[in-house]
Amino acid sequence: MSVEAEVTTTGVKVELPKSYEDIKDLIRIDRLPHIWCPGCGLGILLKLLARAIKNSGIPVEKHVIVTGIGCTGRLGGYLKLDAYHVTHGRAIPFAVGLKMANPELEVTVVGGDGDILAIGGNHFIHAARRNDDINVIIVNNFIYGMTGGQYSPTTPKGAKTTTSPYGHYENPFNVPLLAYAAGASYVARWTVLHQNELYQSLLEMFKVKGFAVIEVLSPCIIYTDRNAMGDAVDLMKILRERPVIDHNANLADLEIDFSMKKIILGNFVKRERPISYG
Amino acid sequence: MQKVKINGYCTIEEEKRFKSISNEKNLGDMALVQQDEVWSMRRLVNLHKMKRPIGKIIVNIDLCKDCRFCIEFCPPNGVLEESKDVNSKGYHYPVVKPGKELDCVACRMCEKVCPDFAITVVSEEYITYDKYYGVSRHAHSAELYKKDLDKLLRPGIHFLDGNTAVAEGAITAGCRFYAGYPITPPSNEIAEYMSYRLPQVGGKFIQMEDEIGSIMAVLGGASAAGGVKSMTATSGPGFSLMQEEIGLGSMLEIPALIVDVMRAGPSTGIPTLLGQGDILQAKYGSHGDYEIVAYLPANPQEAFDFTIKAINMAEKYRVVAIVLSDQLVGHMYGKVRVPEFDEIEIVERPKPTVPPPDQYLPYDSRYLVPPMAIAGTGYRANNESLTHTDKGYPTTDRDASFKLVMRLVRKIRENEKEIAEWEEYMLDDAEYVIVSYGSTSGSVRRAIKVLRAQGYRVGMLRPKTAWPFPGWVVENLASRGVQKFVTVEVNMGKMYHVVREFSRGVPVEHIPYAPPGYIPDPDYVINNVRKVIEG
Ligand SMILES: Cc1ncc(C[n+]2csc(CCOP(=O)(O)OP(=O)(O)O)c2C)c(N)n1
Ligand code: SF4
Ligand code: SF4
Ligand code: SF4
Ligand SMILES: [Mg+2]
Repeated sequence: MSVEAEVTTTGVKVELPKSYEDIKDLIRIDRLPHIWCPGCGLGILLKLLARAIKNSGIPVEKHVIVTGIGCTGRLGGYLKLDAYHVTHGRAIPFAVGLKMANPELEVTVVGGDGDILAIGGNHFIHAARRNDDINVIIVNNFIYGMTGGQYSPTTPKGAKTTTSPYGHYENPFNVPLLAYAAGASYVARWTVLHQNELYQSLLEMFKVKGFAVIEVLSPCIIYTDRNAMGDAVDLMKILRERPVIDHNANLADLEIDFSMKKIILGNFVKRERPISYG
Repeated sequence: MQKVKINGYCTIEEEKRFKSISNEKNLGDMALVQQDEVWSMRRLVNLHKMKRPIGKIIVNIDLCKDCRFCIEFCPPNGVLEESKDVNSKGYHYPVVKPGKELDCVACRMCEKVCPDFAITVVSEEYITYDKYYGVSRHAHSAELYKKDLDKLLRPGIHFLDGNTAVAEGAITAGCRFYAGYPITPPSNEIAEYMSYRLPQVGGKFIQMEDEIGSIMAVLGGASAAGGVKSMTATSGPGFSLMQEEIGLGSMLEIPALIVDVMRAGPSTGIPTLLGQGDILQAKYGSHGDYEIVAYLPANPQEAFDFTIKAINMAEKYRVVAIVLSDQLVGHMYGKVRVPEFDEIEIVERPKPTVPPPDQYLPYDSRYLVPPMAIAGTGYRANNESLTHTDKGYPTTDRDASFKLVMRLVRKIRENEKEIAEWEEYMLDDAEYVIVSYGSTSGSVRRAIKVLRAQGYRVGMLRPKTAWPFPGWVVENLASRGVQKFVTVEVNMGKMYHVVREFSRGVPVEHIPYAPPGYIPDPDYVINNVRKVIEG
């Protein structure tokens, strides 16, 4: 049974099942099906984020999404909100400008590991240092998805990617530790599979005053392929079986290595720090 | 519904098949090298799947009169030869040369030119390229690299895409360091390919955190011990980010190569489709006065050749050299002839002749191109991004500023006739001159053939170097009485402005609205040029 049936820009007739009644006005149904690969975690985050925005207690008109370039960067375009799809790496400074000009806005950046932590890494640490009052969701799929599988700042040592055909030499970022050290007020890590926890964390993020970071682990078939990890389902199985939830974990222990033996999730940091220009 | 398990660029089943084939030692194109050694790399072209028809010749022997048309006009040339036997009338007739049985591509040219209904072609079979080419002509095969010659691409004929040709050209020219940031279109065939190739030739690859980091690492690499030839490759957005550092490279006079595979803009634009919008930015993108050298390859062969030339020019003049390729050239497959190594000119930067350290002046203005000291060789040179004296000390002095900046631009301006390259196509009697470059010139070439057949006296000027621009050629054409210049490029008019600068009042028109992303096809060029001519 359907509540919405539209012939979309892609020429496909899309019907949203009834269970999406609550967020149907937040999804650009006319753009479905989305561009993401079969088994990509981004679609899951899209639905969850829409729901969190809907139930955030903040009017949807006040929500603004800013994204950079990447598969993750396409997420804003599927949300029926004010959304800005800007250049690669530059979503955070754009969001800072929005927030400074109008502090009433609830500004959320969604970006990939490359977008936020490589080309945008400088903006990330400085926004955290200033404790700008914006939200940043980092979708960590351990790779540059959009450009076809080059290593990113979260690619574990040893992993094969298209630019590390002999195995990656470099060390990855420990994202929560980095965010904390740089000054973020709120730091969490979940996976797209941890629906309830991630949902609660998103709601929390909207409430936080200051720089809020959620690292979302998400399967990307471009990563699993290169590393003989099977397909997205196999990585999702890892994300189901391996994680340990420990809100009080030592932040220094949060690095995820190639074996993925240790994946610690949780709402790690929530602290009061003066925010910039606030 | 059948579930197709996708694993990379092929299904699991295909993957298994490839793996089993790759164990047969004699095969080794990219697909297989990947499976075998570094299977995380992308499959560039699947020579096992790409196929073409094989023709079979049927000769009605007794009708043949041995005019040799079929033999002479066979496009793959050399498929057919005269028989030893003769037919009932005493004529030799065509037969397929021994060993050439697979070379007939079933184009039917022989059939079309035969005046006597004697030859026909049937094609029921197909052949895949791996079988056709055999090991020695495989793109990307490990077998291709002469082991004794530092694993360089072997002299001979190769089948490469423009991006890979750039990478191999760079390696041939001595590039041993690559720093880059992923971007479409060049990231797969240049960056990924270099990450695989450079370690084989004793070079190094790094993927930096952005393009600013990339170009800075390249400038550093090029300054380091031994003067490692260094390069990066990018596209519009990354090229824009690199502009400040192009100024730095020019100021510090560091030989470096940037390959910009132009895509459709502005901004993120259409990442996967072509553009030619970076022409002016390449020369004018950074602040202040400086000169660069920029090449415009139109096919994989030129991508290979011009990359070598660009590195040579960078070394010779100590400037930043740019290869302005475009998405179509980058992804175009074609024949690339690698000359014998001793036929390839390789230039090295001028080296200090004085002993270290005190007599050496890093920016010695007695030279147009001062010798370059390499970091760590004892010269203790101060390399200075501030306006500097011959010694490399910062200065605000009027004369020093003039002397330095004049030299930076004179290096190239005084040698522009030596550096600039261009092609003149049917220009001898042309009244209308189309100026075009890169992939677009292919459409223009075809259009000119058609327009000529229709009686229009048109020709093409194709700059092979955007910078220095061969302005004097435009001037000569203008004073020779050309009626009009027409620019055809995938942008809203860029080289148009450059042509106008030299056209001496002869009108210049830009073919309007060649939309970024889409190559103007020959018909489009024909129609619009006719409109220009007929007013
Ligand atoms: C200045 C610039 N450099 C490079 C690119 C090419 N580019 C597009 S997306 C991307 C990386 C995407 O990786 P990530 O941020 O991890 O996002 P994902 O696709 O994995 O979600 C890059 C390098 C660009 N668009 N702009
Ligand atoms: S490449 Fe990876 S991140 Fe991008 S759509 Fe596909 S699965 Fe998702
Ligand atoms: S196979 Fe995947 S996309 Fe299809 S219904 Fe199931 S979860 Fe959804
Ligand atoms: S079909 Fe073409 S390739 Fe074959 S023999 Fe005739 S002309 Fe040559
Ligand atoms: Mg990513």
